[in-house]
Amino acid sequence: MQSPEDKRRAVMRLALEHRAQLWGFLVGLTKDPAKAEDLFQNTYLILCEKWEQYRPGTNFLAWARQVARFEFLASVDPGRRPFVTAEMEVLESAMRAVESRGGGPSSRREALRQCLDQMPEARARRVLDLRYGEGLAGDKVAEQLGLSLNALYTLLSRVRRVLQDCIERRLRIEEAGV
Amino acid sequence: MNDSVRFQIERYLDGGMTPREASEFLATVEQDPEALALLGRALEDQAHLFDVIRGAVPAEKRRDTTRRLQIRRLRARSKPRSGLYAVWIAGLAAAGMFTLWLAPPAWESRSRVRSPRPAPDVSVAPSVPPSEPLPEASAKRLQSVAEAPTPPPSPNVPSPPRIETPVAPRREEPPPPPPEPPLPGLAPSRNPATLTRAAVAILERVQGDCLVLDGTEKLPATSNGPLLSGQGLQCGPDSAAVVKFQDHSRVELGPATRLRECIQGPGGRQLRIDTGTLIAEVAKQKPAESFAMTTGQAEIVVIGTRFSVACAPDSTRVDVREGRVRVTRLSDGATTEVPANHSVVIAAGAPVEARPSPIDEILLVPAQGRILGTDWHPEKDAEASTGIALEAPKSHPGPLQDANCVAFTTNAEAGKTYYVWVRGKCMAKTNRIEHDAVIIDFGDSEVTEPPGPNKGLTGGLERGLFNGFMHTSGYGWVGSDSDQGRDVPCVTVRFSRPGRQTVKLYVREGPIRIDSIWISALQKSRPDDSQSGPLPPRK
Repeated sequence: MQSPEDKRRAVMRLALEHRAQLWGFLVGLTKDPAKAEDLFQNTYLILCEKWEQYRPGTNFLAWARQVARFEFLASVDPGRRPFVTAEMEVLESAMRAVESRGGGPSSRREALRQCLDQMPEARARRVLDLRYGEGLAGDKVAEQLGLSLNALYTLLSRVRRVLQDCIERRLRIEEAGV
Repeated sequence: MNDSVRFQIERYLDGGMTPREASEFLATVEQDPEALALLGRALEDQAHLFDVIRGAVPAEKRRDTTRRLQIRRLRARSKPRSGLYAVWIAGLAAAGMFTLWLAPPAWESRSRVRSPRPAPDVSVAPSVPPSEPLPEASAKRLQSVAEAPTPPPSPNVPSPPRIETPVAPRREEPPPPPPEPPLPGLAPSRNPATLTRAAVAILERVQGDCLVLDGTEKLPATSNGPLLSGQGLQCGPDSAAVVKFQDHSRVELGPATRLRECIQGPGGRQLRIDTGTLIAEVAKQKPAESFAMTTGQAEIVVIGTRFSVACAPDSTRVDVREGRVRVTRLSDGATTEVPANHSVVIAAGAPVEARPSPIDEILLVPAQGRILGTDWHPEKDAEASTGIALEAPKSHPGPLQDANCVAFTTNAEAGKTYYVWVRGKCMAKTNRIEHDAVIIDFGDSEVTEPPGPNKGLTGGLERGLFNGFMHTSGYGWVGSDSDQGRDVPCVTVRFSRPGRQTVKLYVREGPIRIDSIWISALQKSRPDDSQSGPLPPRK
């Protein structure tokens, strides 16, 4: 039987393993990576405190996202809470839609790292560096690259599609044990 | 299609959409599983991208503050407390380690003020926290999570309809849309101060003592008068009013009801109800707009549906007849979706969950039926309660054939005794006694026919014979085999399973017209022939 200490460790390990999903959820809600990071850290602390509430074998992410939801709601003006609730529901549905697919978070991240290393196009890499490395908003990235905002979104969406295809391919290869 | 969705996802994640655009976008995504999965993947991949690429970018260039904050936390606390600290310390340390692993040192990155949280004094992080609890500084906020639901919420909860969802955009809010054209027939307000406000509705009907509430002013309400944005409406104890909106949504205020205000904004309409009862019939709303009602305890958001609200000082009951609404308890944000034929009571301490409403009355009219085969056809009939009847011009002896019937689907409760009445008209001029019978098949159910000469001749235990429409020249109600006398007991049915039922109508003796089938838990005696069912006629 799992001791309380083991269970607590397991919860904390799960929290870190699922960091990307939780943080991604919060970034989607806040549109601000720094703010999302703050909320994630608060969420993490609460998960550490409430570890006893987690029942092993049940959906950890669903539980953790509930905590993240509370954290996000606490940061929102009370008058807006009923409205952002609807947005949270859609984002949660979106994340649930991909939870059951293959490739855990860590393998997906590793696959992404390899795909980025192989990315040949300098401009594509530059846009990713500005957007995700330096954390610039879209309008600033577009300004630096001399693009219109729409052109930037088009470029970003294409780059991310290429990356996604690459990731899926690598994960398939990995699963097949090739 | 994917490219377009991906483009919109980038815009959305960048905060480049106005609240209305974001709302429309999410509404679209929600309806499309493929788009939903794309958004989910984009959210997760974005997190990985930040993590992975951040590590390759010089720290001074980064906009985020994560690691600086963590280090500040690690150094800020001066006096360790026993017990709870260890877990917290180790947790932060583990998170810090994780982040450090992803990115090189960047202590000098841009500072940012945030709410203080006592931090453990460690410089070397253990891999996993050794023991217990938590810093007290966050206790207040954590308390809100103390009742955090035990995992996991069902992953299969159906997605709700979209509502207006401001998305905290980084860019400027769009200017409010131009005012909608005035409602037809609106008279200008007598109050000059209100002339600039848009009329959101007209008072279609006012009965008794009703007052328009305008700030502290109370003006007499009159039929066909306007209701301006921000105004309310109060109905006295024996009064009632119907408010009609530009999109044909209607709200009926019952006696002793107070609608504090009705606000029209870019995101839709918001009605605040203090007390009383109302019935709302809301037209389908545009994706970016919502029709919301707020009581003392709850917020009810609807896209397009028919429902009623009963509001007392300490509770609110919402009954949904068609469509779906979302109800949120204001005190704690607990939310539930209430589908058709369900209700919820919002009150302190009560669980916020939709329960099936009792289904006591079911009226099936021709428009709801699906005509199969050639026995039946719709026929305009001014005498019919809906203006259309189902006509079977010929008799159909012999075994019943599914290929020749009218199939209705409806919801009903299992195990409840329903009394069945059929409103029809014999169309034969002569020998009418042989041209006035139909059979109804109730599917998975137990049907009881009263004693009679033709009992059991329908060919199935789940069927009932309705015979004797000849007794009236026009439409009349028949409850069973009543050739011998009209006021015999009616057929009863008990459905074997709850929810959706299929009811099939077959002709036995034509020519005959059927106006409606009334399945009622309450109507035990034959209804008056002038009555068209439990609801007002739908002419």
